[in-house]
Amino acid sequence: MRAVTFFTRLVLGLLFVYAGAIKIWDVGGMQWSAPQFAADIANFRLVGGDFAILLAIFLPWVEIVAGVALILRRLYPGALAVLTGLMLVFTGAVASALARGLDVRCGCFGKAGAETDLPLALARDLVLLGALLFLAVAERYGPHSRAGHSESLLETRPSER
Amino acid sequence: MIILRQALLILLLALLPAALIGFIQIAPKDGSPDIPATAMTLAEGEVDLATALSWSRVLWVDARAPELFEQEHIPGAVPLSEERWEEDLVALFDEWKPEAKTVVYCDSATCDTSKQIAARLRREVGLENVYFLHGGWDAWQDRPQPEP
Repeated sequence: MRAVTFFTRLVLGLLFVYAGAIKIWDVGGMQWSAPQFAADIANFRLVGGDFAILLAIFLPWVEIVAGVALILRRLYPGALAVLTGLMLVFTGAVASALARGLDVRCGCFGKAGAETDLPLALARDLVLLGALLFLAVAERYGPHSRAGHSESLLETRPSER
Repeated sequence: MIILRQALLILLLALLPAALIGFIQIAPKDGSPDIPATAMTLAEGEVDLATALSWSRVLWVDARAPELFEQEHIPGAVPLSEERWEEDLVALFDEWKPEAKTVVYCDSATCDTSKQIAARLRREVGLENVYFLHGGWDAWQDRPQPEP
C-alpha cells in the first residue's frame, strides 16, 4: 500500500510540475506560453480576457509549487487540497464546455494538450481527481496519519487536520 | 485549519514567481496590458477574416455545434458537421456556386474542426478554393464594426 501511495504521489507530483512548466514556457516555440494558455482559458467563456491572463500566469505556478510539495511531501495536506481544488475547477470547466457544445481545446498540457477531444480530457481529469482523493484518503487513514508528526506547517500533526 | 494555512502558503509561494514572471511578460510596452494576440501566422489553407471579407463571393460553412448555429451564425452560412455529413452536404450544394470560395469556421482560434472539415471537403468532395477561418467564430464576433 505504501508503495502504491508513494508511486501515485510521485507520478502526480511530476505530472503537475510538467503541466505547470509547459504552461509557462513553450520549449518548442522558445516563447512564453501564457498568451496561448490565456486564449485557451478565455475560449471556455467562463471568465473575461483580463482575468484569463491573470489565471494563465498564476495557475501554472500553483501547479508547480503544489506538485513539488507533493513530491517532497512538504505542506502535503495543503498541496492535496490545492490540487484537488484545481482539478475540480478544471473538470468543471471541461464538463461545462462539453455541455455547451463548445469546440475548444483543453489547454491542460500547453501545446501538448492541443487536442479538442474534451471527453478524453474530462476522463483524464476524473482519473487525476480520483488519484488525488486516493492520496487524501491514504493520508487520512494510512500509516502517515498516526500521531507524532511535527507541529510545524511543513509536517502536519494528524489531530489538527 | 492547518490544511487551509498550508494551502494559502502554497498559493502565496506560487504568487511570488507568478508576479515576477507575469510582470516580465505583460509589462505594458504600449500601455495596453491585454492578452497578447496570437501571432498572425496563417497555416496552409487558412484565411484571415479581412481577406475572406474582401472576396466577392464566399460560401460560409459553419462547423460548430448545431445548437450554436441555430443561435447565431454568419449571414448566409450553411451548417456542416461530421455527424450529419451527408444531409448537410446536400444543403451546402444548394448554396454552392463554382465561382465562390468556401470558408469553414468553427468556434475559435484553437478549434480544429474547421480545418478538418475543409480538408475533408477538398479530399472527399473534390472542392477547390476551400479555406478555414483564422480565429473562427470569435474572429467574426470581434470584427471591426463599420462606423455609423
